[in-house]
Amino acid sequence: MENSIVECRNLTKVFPGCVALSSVNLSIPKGQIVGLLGPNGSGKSTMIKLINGLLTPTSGEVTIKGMKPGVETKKIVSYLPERTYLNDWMSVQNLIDYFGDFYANFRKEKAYDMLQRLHINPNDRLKTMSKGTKEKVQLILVMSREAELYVLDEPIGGVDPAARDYILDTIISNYTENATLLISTHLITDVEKILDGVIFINKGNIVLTSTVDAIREKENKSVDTLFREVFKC
Amino acid sequence: MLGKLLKYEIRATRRIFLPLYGLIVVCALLIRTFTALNLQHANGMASVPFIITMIIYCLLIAATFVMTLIVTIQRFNKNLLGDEGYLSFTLPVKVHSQIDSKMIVSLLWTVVSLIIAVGSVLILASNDVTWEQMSKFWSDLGQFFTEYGGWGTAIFLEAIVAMLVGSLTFIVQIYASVSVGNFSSKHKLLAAFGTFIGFMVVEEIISSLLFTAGQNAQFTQWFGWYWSGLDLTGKFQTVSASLGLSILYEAVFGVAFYFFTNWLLSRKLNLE
Amino acid sequence: MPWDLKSDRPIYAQLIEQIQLMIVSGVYPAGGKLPSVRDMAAEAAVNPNTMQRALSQLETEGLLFSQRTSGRYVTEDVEKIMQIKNSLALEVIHEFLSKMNQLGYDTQQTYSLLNHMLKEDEELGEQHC
Repeated sequence: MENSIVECRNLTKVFPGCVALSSVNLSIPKGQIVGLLGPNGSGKSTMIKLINGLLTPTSGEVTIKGMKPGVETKKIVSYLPERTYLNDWMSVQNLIDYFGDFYANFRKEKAYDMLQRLHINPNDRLKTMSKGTKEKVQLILVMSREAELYVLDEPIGGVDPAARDYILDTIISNYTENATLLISTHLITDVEKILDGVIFINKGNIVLTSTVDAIREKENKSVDTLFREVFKC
Repeated sequence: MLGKLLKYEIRATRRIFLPLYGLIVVCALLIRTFTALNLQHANGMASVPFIITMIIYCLLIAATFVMTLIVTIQRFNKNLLGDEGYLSFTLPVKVHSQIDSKMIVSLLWTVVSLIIAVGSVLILASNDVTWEQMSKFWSDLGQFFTEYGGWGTAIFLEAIVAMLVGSLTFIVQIYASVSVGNFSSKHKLLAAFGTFIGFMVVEEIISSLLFTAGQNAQFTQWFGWYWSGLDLTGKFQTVSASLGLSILYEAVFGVAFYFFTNWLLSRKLNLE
Repeated sequence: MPWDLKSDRPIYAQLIEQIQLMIVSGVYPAGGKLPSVRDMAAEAAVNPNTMQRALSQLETEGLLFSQRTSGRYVTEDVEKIMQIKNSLALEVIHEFLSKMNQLGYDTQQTYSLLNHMLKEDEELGEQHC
């Protein structure tokens, strides 16, 4: 489809002893902020890693702008993993140079600007930082790229509630216009205001795709409330 | 992109090797100073600094070679298959460039470590006599080469290439093993070690099969007869040719391991 | 004025109401320029697409207009703003009356209660001065 950026066709991923994704068909429209919502172990991270080529599908395929994950898709996808993926011996400044060297769409001025606003010293090494600060640095690096698709895996999971608004603000005000944002999280209340659409995923299956306003209009309840109902234990 | 990968690969590893090299040179200089002061023959406490520095020096040399091995394994394992792999594999570069950069830098440190080791021995032990002997050795070698034409030089160069190819094959064999070990869900490094042993056994089996085949074809007998009929130049030619063959043989394994690793990392990648 | 968004109603509908409120209360005066969609979205902590949708809706209603080069402005038509102000005021009164109704006051009773309260307020005010 022309208006979608990510397409999954019968996408299946099986790990020894568990089916992480079972024959998922999905298309994520261009230019939207989409929440990938599901309980722990529902297949969110698996899907995200497949999009980024860090996992190989068992069967089916995922394409980004019509291309399978590879060098060309990595140029246009900016990915924030759910873990610390930066080495600890480089300073923030070194990391900015590193990103600038490899990604043609990385904007150094933007990165330094955000660092200043979040009061992070570019000369600090990651070794000396708290977990929350490290996550902020990663987010800054990822959001300083002018990407076509941003994939953020649990971007606010590790920070305190006060910093969450700040981080969401950083995300909204820094993504490239017309770009698509895919955000996976289980902290729905915090993000639902910034989402266009949501994808509910459970046990490797897509349970629901809808827009946030459609859910509120039809069900007269927040996405969070609906989520709690759908995934009631 | 390979150039950029190399730049950062060297940056990541030099902070381990450069201090080691520095310490080795310092120790070698100290030992030389102590020798000049004749401390090694001193009695009692006076010889203690010499002995301690000598021990440290030997440990440092050993550490350097152990570190080249550990860094070869760890850079591949941590930077590609560990958490850092989440960045390495989302860079817009081909998988083979990642392997190339790590392989080239590993080889680089192996060669530099060797040069530093030899160089430090020269620093601590050279004197007029050894210099004289060495320059004689080199001039003899030069004369030897001129006497037997290009074949001597060829053998010399082939020996160097054989060492480089041998090192590279060893490095990619490690990469292939670590990549296979990564499929084990629990004991990744143990599985990698097992795979490495497995690869060695396979190489051994192939070599002995070839050898037996050669024996059955009475190759050894034929070769003995052929060798005795050769003049000196002919013998040089034969040595050079068989060295070339053995390089090729080693390279076949190296190339196989390289493509196997590349295939695993680009088609079968599964980062947890 | 902080943005106050409830979680059980469509966000864009709430944005429309709040922007209307900001215009009639003079936060964004008649003929004044609005911040960019992005800035407004960031301030309200909502998706820029949703903010865009709300602003377009207000444009169709004639409360805003955009100039292709320089951005989006509040209408200069003061009468129009007053109209909206009145209709918002009527809405508030209707809501108030229906709540009073639930409490068991008919319109007449509500009216006298309100009068009574206003008088008391006045007297209290005089005492203070």
